[in-house]
This record gives sequence, structure tokens and C-alpha cells, in this order.
Amino acid sequence: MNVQAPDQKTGGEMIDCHTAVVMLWDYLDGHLGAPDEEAVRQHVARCSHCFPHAEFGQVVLDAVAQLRRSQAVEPSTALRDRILTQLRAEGYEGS
Amino acid sequence: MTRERDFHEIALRWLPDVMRFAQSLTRDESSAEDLVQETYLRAWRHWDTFKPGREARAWLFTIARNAWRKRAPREARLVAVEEQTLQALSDSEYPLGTSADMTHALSTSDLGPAIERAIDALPEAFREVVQLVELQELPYADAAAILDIPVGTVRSRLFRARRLLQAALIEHARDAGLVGASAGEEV
Repeated sequence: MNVQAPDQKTGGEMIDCHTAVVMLWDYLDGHLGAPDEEAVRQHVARCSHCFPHAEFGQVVLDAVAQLRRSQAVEPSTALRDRILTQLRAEGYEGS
Repeated sequence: MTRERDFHEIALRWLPDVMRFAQSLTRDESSAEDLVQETYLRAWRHWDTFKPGREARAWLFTIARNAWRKRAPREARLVAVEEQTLQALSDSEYPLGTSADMTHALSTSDLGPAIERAIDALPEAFREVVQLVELQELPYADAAAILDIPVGTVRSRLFRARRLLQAALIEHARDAGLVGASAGEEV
């Protein structure tokens, strides 16, 4: 979800800061329906109070996404062997 | 060999994800490996109860979490108290002051280590939601089933966890000299 800079004048239904705050994370996650998404987008684009918070929210989500991409864990061969040894003791005959 | 083949193809393929989830629960490599081992042992013993078509990863996470809860009930109780304290965080206000300078400074920094530390420092009830929804990319409904809580609670814990991560990143920005000491105060 891109956060547009303030002062981009577009039409549409207005919401207040309180409503924008409540819907902000769902907006950034892309979980809102089209009318709500557009209302928050327009509010954030116009509101100098909400805009930096929306941007900061996006920074957190981007950082978590970056961590997710870099966090591939490859279990050690020793752990795999231990699991298989334990499973075989319980009747598992696979590899 | 069908039972073995199914277990290998459906359950063992998720070993890296189960390991990552176990690490998030235990925050200790050795304990995580023990938990993964226990998880797969339990999964194999109860493989007959696994319903084909069900999300195997979520099933394995449920087993891992239950095993961990059994091992660490005391920690779970402490977390419950912490969470009550954290209920004070309002869903309807911006909890943190911020600025364009700080946001710019953070967005142009490598936040990987800082966000990892911040997630690791979250209370367990929040950390496990972040792990399941943000890092494992499970739907709210699956996370709710694993944690045995309502979907709405997953959502509110996730949003509160993000607030805590924001607070940690502001602290990081100050410590790293990315912004002045007054940045990030309550508004």
C-alpha cells in the first residue's frame, strides 16, 4: 500500500482523523473494501497529522517484510537425523 | 509405505517453518531443536488424526505451541499479566509522535537487525501473532485456530504489537543518532 504525500486534492467521501486511525493498519495491509480504502487514502493524502503516521506504519511493515525474506531457516542435518532416528524408533520406515 | 510417504511429503516438508516457529517460541536454538523434535514425534504418533486437505503447517504449529505451553506454563502465566498491562494501548489513537525526518531516516536504514530484536523483545502473546501472521504469512483465521483465540483478538494483538515495534524503532533511531532525542515523543 503506497502512502501518497499530502495536498493531493481528489474528490470523494471525507473521513476524520479518528476514523482514519482506526482503519489505518487495515488500509496499509490492503484489507479494506474499495470505498473505505479510497476514503483513507484521500484522508491520509490530505492530512498533515495522519500522513507521517501512515508513512511510519509503512516503514514498520516494510521492515518486517524485509526480515521475513531474510529469515529462511535451514535446519541442520544433525537435527533432521535426530528427528528421523526418533521417528524410526516409533515405527517410521521412511527416509 | 503410504503413511510414511504422506508424512514425509505433507509434514516433514514444513521442517524449516516449524523450526522458525519453534525459535520464536523458545528464543533459544537448542530448546527450539528439542521442541521441533517433540513436535514431529507427536505429529507422527497422531498422524492418523490428521485430516487430508487440512493446512499441515498450521496443524504442526498447533502441536508445537501446545508442547511448548506444556513445558513453559509459568512463562505463559506471566505473559497473561503483561498483556493486561498492554491493554492500556488504545486502538483509536496514534500512540507515537513521529516526523518526516525520522521516517525518512528509518526508511533509508537497514532495519533488519533492529526489527528482529524488537520482535524478539515482544511479550509472547504478541510475538507469536507477529510470527504467525507477519513472518509465516498465515491468514488471521489460521493464526486464531493455532492460538485458540478469536480472530478479532489476533487482529488487535497484531496491531498492538506493531505499535510496540514502532516504539522500538523510534528508540533505535535515537540510539543510532538518526534523529534528535526529542523525536518520537507522545503527541
